[in-house]
Amino acid sequence: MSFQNAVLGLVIERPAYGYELAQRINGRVAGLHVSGTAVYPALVALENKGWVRRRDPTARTGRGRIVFDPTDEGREGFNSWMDHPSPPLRGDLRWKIAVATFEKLPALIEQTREEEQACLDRIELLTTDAGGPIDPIAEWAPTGRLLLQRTDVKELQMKIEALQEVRATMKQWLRQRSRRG
Amino acid sequence: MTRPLLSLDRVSKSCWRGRHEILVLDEVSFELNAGEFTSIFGQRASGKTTLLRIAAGIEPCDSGSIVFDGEDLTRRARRRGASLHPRIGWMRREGPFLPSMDMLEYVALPLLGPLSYDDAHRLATRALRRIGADELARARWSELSDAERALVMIAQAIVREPALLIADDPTMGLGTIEREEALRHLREIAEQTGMAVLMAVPEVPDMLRSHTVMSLSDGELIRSTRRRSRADVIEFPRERGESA
Repeated sequence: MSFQNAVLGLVIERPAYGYELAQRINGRVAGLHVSGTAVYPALVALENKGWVRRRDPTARTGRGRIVFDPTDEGREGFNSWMDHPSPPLRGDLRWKIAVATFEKLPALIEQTREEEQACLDRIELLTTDAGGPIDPIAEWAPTGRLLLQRTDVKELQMKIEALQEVRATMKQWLRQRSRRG
Repeated sequence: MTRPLLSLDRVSKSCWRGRHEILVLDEVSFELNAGEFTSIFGQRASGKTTLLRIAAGIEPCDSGSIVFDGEDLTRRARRRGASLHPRIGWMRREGPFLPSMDMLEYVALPLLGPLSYDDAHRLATRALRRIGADELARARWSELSDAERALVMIAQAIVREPALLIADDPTMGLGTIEREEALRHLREIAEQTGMAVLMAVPEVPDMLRSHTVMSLSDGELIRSTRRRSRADVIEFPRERGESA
Protein backbone atom coordinates (compact mmCIF):
# COMPACT_ATOMS: atom_id res chain seq x y z
CA MET A 1 0.00 0.00 0.00
CA SER A 2 2.76 2.45 0.93
CA PHE A 3 4.64 1.79 -2.31
CA GLN A 4 1.41 2.15 -4.25
CA ASN A 5 0.74 5.49 -2.62
CA ALA A 6 4.29 6.63 -3.32
CA VAL A 7 3.79 5.76 -7.03
CA LEU A 8 0.50 7.66 -6.95
CA GLY A 9 2.33 10.65 -5.44
CA LEU A 10 4.74 10.69 -8.38
CA VAL A 11 1.88 10.43 -10.90
CA ILE A 12 0.20 13.42 -9.22
CA GLU A 13 3.49 15.31 -9.30
CA ARG A 14 3.85 14.64 -13.04
CA PRO A 15 1.90 12.11 -15.15
CA ALA A 16 4.25 9.47 -16.53
CA TYR A 17 4.63 5.95 -17.85
CA GLY A 18 5.87 3.01 -15.81
CA TYR A 19 9.56 3.04 -16.66
CA GLU A 20 9.89 6.75 -15.98
CA LEU A 21 8.08 6.34 -12.65
CA ALA A 22 10.51 3.59 -11.66
CA GLN A 23 13.45 5.85 -12.49
CA ARG A 24 11.98 8.70 -10.48
CA ILE A 25 11.22 6.58 -7.43
CA ASN A 26 14.74 5.15 -7.50
CA GLY A 27 16.02 8.72 -7.46
CA ARG A 28 14.08 9.42 -4.27
CA VAL A 29 15.31 6.54 -2.11
CA ALA A 30 19.02 5.75 -1.92
CA GLY A 31 19.84 2.13 -2.67
CA LEU A 32 16.45 1.40 -4.23
CA HIS A 33 16.45 -0.41 -7.59
CA VAL A 34 12.83 -0.78 -8.67
CA SER A 35 12.47 -2.05 -12.23
CA GLY A 36 9.97 -0.64 -14.70
CA THR A 37 7.91 -3.82 -14.56
CA ALA A 38 7.71 -3.67 -10.75
CA VAL A 39 5.82 -0.39 -10.96
CA TYR A 40 3.04 -1.77 -13.18
CA PRO A 41 1.29 -3.95 -10.54
CA ALA A 42 1.05 -0.82 -8.39
CA LEU A 43 -0.32 1.20 -11.34
CA VAL A 44 -2.87 -1.52 -12.18
CA ALA A 45 -4.01 -1.67 -8.55
CA LEU A 46 -4.37 2.13 -8.53
CA GLU A 47 -6.26 1.98 -11.81
CA ASN A 48 -8.64 -0.64 -10.40
CA LYS A 49 -9.34 1.66 -7.46
CA GLY A 50 -10.05 4.48 -9.89
CA TRP A 51 -7.15 6.56 -8.59
CA VAL A 52 -5.22 6.74 -11.89
CA ARG A 53 -6.33 6.31 -15.50
CA ARG A 54 -4.54 5.63 -18.77
CA ARG A 55 -4.28 8.64 -21.02
CA ASP A 56 -5.00 6.43 -24.04
CA PRO A 57 -7.15 3.48 -22.92
CA THR A 58 -6.61 1.62 -26.20
CA ALA A 59 -2.80 1.55 -25.91
CA ARG A 60 -1.84 -1.86 -24.50
CA THR A 61 1.35 -3.18 -26.03
CA GLY A 62 4.14 -2.32 -28.43
CA ARG A 63 6.37 0.73 -28.16
CA GLY A 64 3.46 3.00 -27.37
CA ARG A 65 4.07 4.22 -23.83
CA ILE A 66 1.10 4.18 -21.50
CA VAL A 67 1.00 7.42 -19.60
CA PHE A 68 -0.97 7.45 -16.35
CA ASP A 69 -2.88 10.49 -15.07
CA PRO A 70 -4.26 10.93 -11.55
CA THR A 71 -8.01 11.15 -10.99
CA ASP A 72 -9.71 13.46 -8.48
CA GLU A 73 -10.35 10.42 -6.26
CA GLY A 74 -6.65 9.56 -6.51
CA ARG A 75 -5.64 13.06 -5.41
CA GLU A 76 -8.05 12.81 -2.52
CA GLY A 77 -6.75 9.38 -1.49
CA PHE A 78 -3.14 10.52 -1.69
CA ASN A 79 -3.78 13.64 0.42
CA SER A 80 -5.58 11.58 3.00
CA TRP A 81 -2.64 9.12 3.20
CA MET A 82 -0.10 11.93 3.50
CA ASP A 83 -2.02 14.00 6.04
CA HIS A 84 -3.09 11.25 8.40
CA PRO A 85 -0.77 9.17 10.54
CA SER A 86 -0.29 5.60 9.39
CA PRO A 87 0.07 2.79 11.94
CA PRO A 88 3.43 3.52 13.63
CA LEU A 89 6.65 1.58 13.03
CA ARG A 90 5.40 0.14 9.71
CA GLY A 91 7.62 2.12 7.38
CA ASP A 92 4.95 4.28 5.71
CA LEU A 93 6.68 7.44 6.83
CA ARG A 94 9.71 6.49 4.72
CA TRP A 95 7.63 6.57 1.53
CA LYS A 96 5.83 9.71 2.58
CA ILE A 97 9.15 11.51 3.03
CA ALA A 98 10.27 10.30 -0.39
CA VAL A 99 7.31 11.84 -2.22
CA ALA A 100 6.56 14.78 0.08
CA THR A 101 5.93 18.26 -1.20
CA PHE A 102 6.61 21.43 0.77
CA GLU A 103 3.02 21.92 1.91
CA LYS A 104 2.92 18.39 3.34
CA LEU A 105 5.85 19.01 5.70
CA PRO A 106 3.80 20.23 8.72
CA ALA A 107 1.69 17.04 8.64
CA LEU A 108 4.82 14.91 8.30
CA ILE A 109 6.51 16.71 11.22
CA GLU A 110 3.53 15.79 13.35
CA GLN A 111 3.77 12.18 12.16
CA THR A 112 7.45 11.97 13.15
CA ARG A 113 6.37 12.98 16.66
CA GLU A 114 3.76 10.26 16.75
CA GLU A 115 6.24 7.71 15.42
CA GLU A 116 8.78 8.74 18.08
CA GLN A 117 6.10 8.46 20.73
CA ALA A 118 5.39 4.91 19.53
CA CYS A 119 9.11 4.10 19.95
CA LEU A 120 9.03 5.48 23.51
CA ASP A 121 5.92 3.42 24.23
CA ARG A 122 7.76 0.33 23.05
CA ILE A 123 10.76 1.18 25.26
CA GLU A 124 8.50 1.72 28.24
CA LEU A 125 6.88 -1.64 27.58
CA LEU A 126 10.33 -3.21 27.72
CA THR A 127 11.12 -1.42 31.00
CA THR A 128 8.27 -3.23 32.71
CA ASP A 129 10.14 -6.44 32.03
CA ALA A 130 13.71 -5.39 32.73
CA GLY A 131 14.64 -8.68 34.42
CA GLY A 132 16.88 -9.10 37.43
CA PRO A 133 20.34 -7.70 38.03
CA ILE A 134 23.20 -9.01 35.92
CA ASP A 135 25.33 -11.44 37.83
CA PRO A 136 28.42 -12.28 35.77
CA ILE A 137 29.07 -15.41 37.84
CA ALA A 138 25.57 -16.84 37.55
CA GLU A 139 24.08 -18.64 34.54
CA TRP A 140 24.45 -16.89 31.20
CA ALA A 141 20.69 -16.84 30.46
CA PRO A 142 19.73 -13.67 32.39
CA THR A 143 22.74 -11.83 31.02
CA GLY A 144 21.95 -12.95 27.48
CA ARG A 145 18.34 -11.92 27.94
CA LEU A 146 19.35 -8.47 29.09
CA LEU A 147 21.82 -8.05 26.25
CA LEU A 148 19.11 -8.94 23.72
CA GLN A 149 16.77 -6.50 25.38
CA ARG A 150 19.43 -3.78 25.17
CA THR A 151 19.97 -4.65 21.50
CA ASP A 152 16.24 -4.26 20.76
CA VAL A 153 16.28 -0.93 22.50
CA LYS A 154 19.40 0.17 20.60
CA GLU A 155 17.46 -0.36 17.37
CA LEU A 156 14.70 1.86 18.74
CA GLN A 157 17.34 4.45 19.63
CA MET A 158 18.54 4.49 16.02
CA LYS A 159 14.97 4.98 14.87
CA ILE A 160 14.38 7.79 17.36
CA GLU A 161 17.60 9.53 16.32
CA ALA A 162 16.64 9.25 12.64
CA LEU A 163 13.15 10.65 13.33
CA GLN A 164 14.64 13.54 15.29
CA GLU A 165 16.95 14.35 12.43
CA VAL A 166 14.13 14.19 9.89
CA ARG A 167 11.95 16.45 12.02
CA ALA A 168 14.71 18.97 12.68
CA THR A 169 15.50 19.18 8.95
CA MET A 170 11.85 19.61 7.99
CA LYS A 171 11.43 22.35 10.60
CA GLN A 172 14.57 24.07 9.34
CA TRP A 173 13.20 23.93 5.78
CA LEU A 174 9.93 25.51 6.87
CA ARG A 175 11.75 28.25 8.78
CA GLN A 176 14.00 29.06 5.83
CA ARG A 177 11.07 29.13 3.43
CA SER A 178 9.03 31.39 5.70
CA ARG A 179 12.00 33.76 6.05
CA ARG A 180 12.23 34.01 2.28
CA GLY A 181 8.50 34.69 2.18
CA MET B 1 -5.52 13.48 42.88
CA THR B 2 -2.06 13.89 44.40
CA ARG B 3 0.02 16.94 43.57
CA PRO B 4 3.10 16.20 41.44
CA LEU B 5 6.44 16.67 43.18
CA LEU B 6 7.93 18.55 40.26
CA SER B 7 6.04 20.34 37.55
CA LEU B 8 7.45 22.17 34.54
CA ASP B 9 4.91 24.19 32.60
CA ARG B 10 5.71 25.51 29.11
CA VAL B 11 9.35 26.14 29.91
CA SER B 12 11.35 27.81 27.13
CA LYS B 13 15.01 28.67 26.99
CA SER B 14 17.17 29.94 24.16
CA CYS B 15 20.85 30.73 23.86
CA TRP B 16 23.09 32.44 21.33
CA ARG B 17 25.64 30.61 19.25
CA GLY B 18 27.49 33.30 17.38
CA ARG B 19 24.84 35.35 15.61
CA HIS B 20 22.24 32.61 15.77
CA GLU B 21 19.68 32.23 18.49
CA ILE B 22 19.09 28.57 19.33
CA LEU B 23 15.85 27.50 20.96
CA VAL B 24 17.11 24.91 23.46
CA LEU B 25 13.75 24.27 25.12
CA ASP B 26 10.49 25.06 23.35
CA GLU B 27 7.55 25.14 25.77
CA VAL B 28 8.57 21.97 27.55
CA SER B 29 6.08 20.62 30.08
CA PHE B 30 6.14 17.54 32.27
CA GLU B 31 5.35 16.37 35.75
CA LEU B 32 7.22 14.06 38.06
CA ASN B 33 5.70 12.22 41.00
CA ALA B 34 7.31 11.00 44.20
CA GLY B 35 8.79 7.53 43.79
CA GLU B 36 8.95 7.83 40.01
CA PHE B 37 12.11 7.14 38.03
CA THR B 38 11.97 9.19 34.83
CA SER B 39 14.55 9.22 32.04
CA ILE B 40 15.11 11.71 29.28
CA PHE B 41 16.97 10.59 26.19
CA GLY B 42 18.75 13.15 24.08
CA GLN B 43 21.63 13.21 21.66
CA ARG B 44 24.71 15.34 22.23
CA ALA B 45 23.92 19.05 22.66
CA SER B 46 20.17 18.39 22.69
CA GLY B 47 19.65 20.50 25.81
CA LYS B 48 19.43 17.70 28.41
CA THR B 49 21.75 19.35 30.92
CA THR B 50 20.02 22.71 30.49
CA LEU B 51 16.67 21.04 31.13
CA LEU B 52 17.99 19.32 34.27
CA ARG B 53 19.56 22.53 35.58
CA ILE B 54 16.30 24.42 35.02
CA ALA B 55 14.32 21.62 36.70
CA ALA B 56 16.75 21.82 39.65
CA GLY B 57 16.22 25.58 39.91
CA ILE B 58 19.87 26.47 39.36
CA GLU B 59 19.44 27.95 35.89
CA PRO B 60 16.75 30.44 34.96
CA CYS B 61 14.38 29.84 32.05
CA ASP B 62 13.19 32.55 29.66
CA SER B 63 9.51 31.76 30.16
CA GLY B 64 7.29 29.16 31.80
CA SER B 65 7.24 27.97 35.37
CA ILE B 66 8.83 25.34 37.59
CA VAL B 67 7.12 24.24 40.78
CA PHE B 68 8.87 21.86 43.15
CA ASP B 69 6.99 20.49 46.15
CA GLY B 70 4.61 23.43 46.03
CA GLU B 71 7.45 25.97 45.86
CA ASP B 72 8.00 28.21 42.84
CA LEU B 73 11.57 27.57 41.64
CA THR B 74 11.22 29.95 38.69
CA ARG B 75 12.01 33.08 40.68
CA ARG B 76 14.52 31.31 42.93
CA ALA B 77 16.58 30.41 39.84
CA ARG B 78 16.69 34.05 38.70
CA ARG B 79 18.53 35.05 41.87
CA ARG B 80 22.23 35.61 41.36
CA GLY B 81 24.20 32.48 42.22
CA ALA B 82 21.10 30.40 42.91
CA SER B 83 22.04 27.32 44.91
CA LEU B 84 20.50 23.88 44.79
CA HIS B 85 17.26 23.53 46.76
CA PRO B 86 18.00 21.61 49.98
CA ARG B 87 15.48 18.90 49.02
CA ILE B 88 16.98 18.33 45.59
CA GLY B 89 20.05 16.12 45.19
CA TRP B 90 22.35 16.47 42.18
CA MET B 91 24.56 13.54 41.26
CA ARG B 92 28.01 14.93 40.62
CA ARG B 93 30.56 13.43 38.27
CA GLU B 94 33.76 14.80 39.75
CA GLY B 95 35.61 13.28 42.65
CA PRO B 96 36.84 15.07 45.77
CA PHE B 97 39.24 17.99 45.30
CA LEU B 98 41.35 16.65 48.18
CA PRO B 99 42.90 13.32 47.11
CA SER B 100 43.48 12.35 50.75
CA MET B 101 39.76 12.42 51.53
CA ASP B 102 38.17 9.02 52.11
CA MET B 103 34.76 8.21 50.62
CA LEU B 104 32.89 8.50 53.90
CA GLU B 105 34.16 12.06 54.29
CA TYR B 106 33.38 12.78 50.64
CA VAL B 107 29.82 11.47 50.87
CA ALA B 108 29.32 13.44 54.11
CA LEU B 109 30.51 16.71 52.55
CA PRO B 110 27.07 18.19 51.67
CA LEU B 111 26.01 17.74 55.32
CA LEU B 112 28.96 19.43 56.98
CA GLY B 113 27.92 22.81 58.25
CA PRO B 114 24.26 22.16 58.96
CA LEU B 115 25.12 18.97 60.88
CA SER B 116 27.83 17.94 63.31
CA TYR B 117 30.73 15.83 62.06
CA ASP B 118 29.37 12.72 63.80
CA ASP B 119 25.84 13.15 62.51
CA ALA B 120 27.10 13.82 58.98
CA HIS B 121 29.20 10.66 59.10
CA ARG B 122 26.32 8.62 60.46
CA LEU B 123 24.07 9.69 57.57
CA ALA B 124 26.89 9.18 55.05
CA THR B 125 27.38 5.63 56.35
CA ARG B 126 23.66 5.05 55.92
CA ALA B 127 23.71 6.40 52.35
CA LEU B 128 26.62 4.14 51.42
CA ARG B 129 24.90 1.15 53.03
CA ARG B 130 21.68 1.86 51.15
CA ILE B 131 23.39 1.22 47.84
CA GLY B 132 25.51 -1.64 49.19
CA ALA B 133 28.77 0.32 49.06
CA ASP B 134 29.63 0.57 52.77
CA GLU B 135 32.93 -1.25 52.20
CA LEU B 136 34.08 1.80 50.20
CA ALA B 137 33.87 4.12 53.22
CA ARG B 138 37.60 4.14 53.93
CA ALA B 139 38.77 3.96 50.31
CA ARG B 140 40.37 6.86 48.44
CA TRP B 141 38.95 8.11 45.12
CA SER B 142 42.08 7.00 43.25
CA GLU B 143 41.58 3.43 44.47
CA LEU B 144 38.06 3.09 43.04
CA SER B 145 36.91 1.63 39.74
CA ASP B 146 34.54 3.70 37.56
CA ALA B 147 31.61 1.58 38.79
CA GLU B 148 32.53 2.17 42.44
CA ARG B 149 32.90 5.89 41.78
CA ALA B 150 29.38 5.93 40.34
CA LEU B 151 28.05 4.30 43.52
CA VAL B 152 29.86 6.84 45.72
CA MET B 153 28.39 9.68 43.71
CA ILE B 154 24.89 8.22 44.06
CA ALA B 155 25.47 7.96 47.83
CA GLN B 156 26.59 11.58 48.00
CA ALA B 157 23.57 12.74 45.99
CA ILE B 158 21.12 11.00 48.33
CA VAL B 159 22.90 11.70 51.63
CA ARG B 160 20.65 14.67 52.41
CA GLU B 161 17.65 12.43 51.69
CA PRO B 162 16.30 14.74 49.00
CA ALA B 163 12.79 14.40 47.63
CA LEU B 164 14.19 14.63 44.10
CA LEU B 165 17.44 13.20 42.79
CA ILE B 166 18.76 14.53 39.49
CA ALA B 167 21.40 12.61 37.55
CA ASP B 168 23.02 13.86 34.34
CA ASP B 169 24.42 10.90 32.38
CA PRO B 170 25.25 8.92 35.52
CA THR B 171 26.56 5.89 33.62
CA MET B 172 29.10 7.73 31.50
CA GLY B 173 32.20 5.58 31.03
CA LEU B 174 30.69 2.44 32.57
CA GLY B 175 30.49 -1.03 30.97
CA THR B 176 27.18 -2.86 30.50
CA ILE B 177 27.26 -4.71 33.83
CA GLU B 178 28.31 -1.63 35.80
CA ARG B 179 25.64 0.45 34.09
CA GLU B 180 23.02 -2.06 35.07
CA GLU B 181 24.22 -1.98 38.66
CA ALA B 182 24.08 1.82 38.92
CA LEU B 183 20.68 2.05 37.22
CA ARG B 184 19.26 -0.72 39.40
CA HIS B 185 20.28 1.30 42.47
CA LEU B 186 18.56 4.41 41.12
CA ARG B 187 15.34 2.46 40.56
CA GLU B 188 15.53 0.90 44.01
CA ILE B 189 16.07 4.31 45.59
CA ALA B 190 12.92 5.57 43.86
CA GLU B 191 10.83 2.56 44.78
CA GLN B 192 12.06 2.00 48.32
CA THR B 193 12.38 5.57 49.56
CA GLY B 194 9.75 7.40 47.51
CA MET B 195 12.44 9.72 46.15
CA ALA B 196 11.75 10.89 42.59
CA VAL B 197 14.64 10.35 40.19
CA LEU B 198 15.11 12.44 37.05
CA MET B 199 17.90 11.24 34.79
CA ALA B 200 19.22 12.35 31.39
CA VAL B 201 21.05 9.84 29.20
CA PRO B 202 22.54 9.78 25.70
CA GLU B 203 21.88 6.03 25.34
CA VAL B 204 18.37 4.61 25.17
CA PRO B 205 19.26 1.22 26.77
CA ASP B 206 20.04 3.15 29.96
CA MET B 207 16.35 4.00 30.22
CA LEU B 208 15.37 0.34 30.66
CA ARG B 209 15.16 0.61 34.45
CA SER B 210 12.98 3.72 34.37
CA HIS B 211 9.27 3.93 34.97
CA THR B 212 8.73 6.75 32.47
CA VAL B 213 10.71 7.67 29.36
CA MET B 214 10.89 10.87 27.34
CA SER B 215 13.05 12.19 24.53
CA LEU B 216 14.39 15.67 23.86
CA SER B 217 15.47 17.08 20.52
CA ASP B 218 15.37 20.44 18.80
CA GLY B 219 13.82 21.93 21.94
CA GLU B 220 10.89 19.50 21.93
CA LEU B 221 10.18 17.02 24.67
CA ILE B 222 8.25 13.94 23.58
CA ARG B 223 6.65 11.62 26.12
CA SER B 224 5.43 8.09 25.83
CA THR B 225 1.67 7.73 25.74
CA ARG B 226 1.75 4.78 28.13
CA ARG B 227 2.52 6.95 31.17
CA ARG B 228 1.54 4.81 34.12
CA SER B 229 0.27 5.97 37.45
CA ARG B 230 2.54 5.68 40.46
CA ALA B 231 0.35 2.87 41.79
CA ASP B 232 1.18 0.82 38.71
CA VAL B 233 4.92 1.11 39.04
CA ILE B 234 5.57 1.03 42.75
CA GLU B 235 4.58 -2.03 44.61
CA PHE B 236 5.36 -1.11 48.22
CA PRO B 237 6.25 2.54 48.60
CA ARG B 238 7.65 3.39 52.00
CA GLU B 239 7.84 6.75 53.67
CA ARG B 240 11.14 8.53 53.18
CA GLY B 241 13.64 7.56 55.82
CA GLU B 242 11.58 4.65 57.12
CA SER B 243 14.04 2.00 56.02
CA ALA B 244 17.08 3.92 57.24
